[in-house]
Amino acid sequence: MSEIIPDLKYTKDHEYVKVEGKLARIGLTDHAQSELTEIVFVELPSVGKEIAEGEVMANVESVKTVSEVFAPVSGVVKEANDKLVDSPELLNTDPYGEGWIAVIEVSDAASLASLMSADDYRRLLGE
Amino acid sequence: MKTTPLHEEHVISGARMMPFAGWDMPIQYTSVIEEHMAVREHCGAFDVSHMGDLLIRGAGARNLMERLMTNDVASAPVGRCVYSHILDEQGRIIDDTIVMTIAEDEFLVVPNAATTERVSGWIRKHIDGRELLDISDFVATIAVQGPSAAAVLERITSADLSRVRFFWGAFVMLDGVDWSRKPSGDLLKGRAYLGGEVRGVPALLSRTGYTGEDGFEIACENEAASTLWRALLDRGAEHGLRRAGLGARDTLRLEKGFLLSGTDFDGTQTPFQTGPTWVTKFNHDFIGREALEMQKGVGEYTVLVGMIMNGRGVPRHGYDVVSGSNVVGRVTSGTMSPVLRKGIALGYVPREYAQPGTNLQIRVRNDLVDAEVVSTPFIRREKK
Repeated sequence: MSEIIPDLKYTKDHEYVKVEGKLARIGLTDHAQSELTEIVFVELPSVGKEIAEGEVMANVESVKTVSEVFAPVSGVVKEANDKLVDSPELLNTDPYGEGWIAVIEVSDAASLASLMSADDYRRLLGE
Repeated sequence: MKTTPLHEEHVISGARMMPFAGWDMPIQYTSVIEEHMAVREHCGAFDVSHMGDLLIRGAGARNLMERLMTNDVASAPVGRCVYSHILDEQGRIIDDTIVMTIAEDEFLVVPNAATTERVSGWIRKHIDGRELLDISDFVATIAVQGPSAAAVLERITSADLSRVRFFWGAFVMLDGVDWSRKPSGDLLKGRAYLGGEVRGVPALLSRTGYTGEDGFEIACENEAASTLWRALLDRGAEHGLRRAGLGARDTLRLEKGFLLSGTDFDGTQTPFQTGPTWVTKFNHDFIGREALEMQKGVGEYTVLVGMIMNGRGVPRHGYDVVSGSNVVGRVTSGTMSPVLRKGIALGYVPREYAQPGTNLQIRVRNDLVDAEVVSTPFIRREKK
């Protein structure tokens, strides 16, 4: 059973969103990292980039596969987690902490409302 | 979906199962990288029962091998294993395989899982009175690979393994395993066993593999597979042995530059393109030879090279290889090398780009990442 943090928002693509005022800190859920297996490479978005909900925001690669990470909200990329360049394994070891991927300044607060609660996400996983 | 006799063992141990060439196979047990490093440093046990097992025998079987195989199988003494390609009349690779000479006029051909039917059909087409037995469904194969493989094998047999040298094989009684059933199938019944006719798991042992490490491939009858698997895991543990899945098998072979059938050649390339050069011996007459000699005369073709990434990025099957503003080739296999911690790839490029040291780029999504042609293997075994 994977870890789900109560006060975060989630997407059906197994991302989490930590809302910090106008900022959304985005990462992959514990379930996602476990399914992806060991992450060996992360391609981050450029800071300052305008990104629309559903667009590819980052790519994470395990030994065997490439997976796209979609932007869960629209806005401007304010931060990208450079630590992942040299330590992509942080996505596996600390997905909700040091393994975050990017921070987006949300352009439309309404888009946050469509995200899932922890309970909804737990139901999606069937746990 | 087909399953191997070890399927339940994998499921019980929590393996991540995935379809591979029509088989439900373990891709990893805990971690591709950990399993990979275990094989490089200690030892790993792989279920490779999905590979085919074709027995060819009868008067003239040796001549048939001479016709079908690019390598010089026909002059191999009993016990010798030879890596060879099988070509069609146009010189294109149907499959690569290891052929073991089991007796004077008897051979075991081990094709890849996905090509076993095609290879068996091809052999049947040229059989001309010899006997072909597809025993794939009755034989399980476990590969024990890594520097401590011999030490692990010594725990399950009292036979003198120093007599089974690199790329040789023998029938061996694994008398350290509690098993008393006599073999009943064509491969193992009535053979002369190293270590004599005592109790134990009867097996055909060959000192071969697909990891570039020392190691053995152990073929036994399906019924004995689970018992043997458990004995290996149990005795092997103190030698650092762990289960290893097809994920690690793929990264291990790629670090050594070994070809993957269906991926690094797909039925359209010749051995001149894939290499290695020693796999084709022009001292005998084989199917595809004329076409190869013509290709040699013309000389316009792409060749498979090793490439290492100097920039950030992981090369993958199908990515473009770029020189200047031109796409000059394509990646066929790529991964992040667990040993080098860099992207490594095999891919086809025109011969003028094939020299080691040639600077190229590989397109990773929207970026061109610097890569360099290198001679394979990407990593070499440490000299002891």
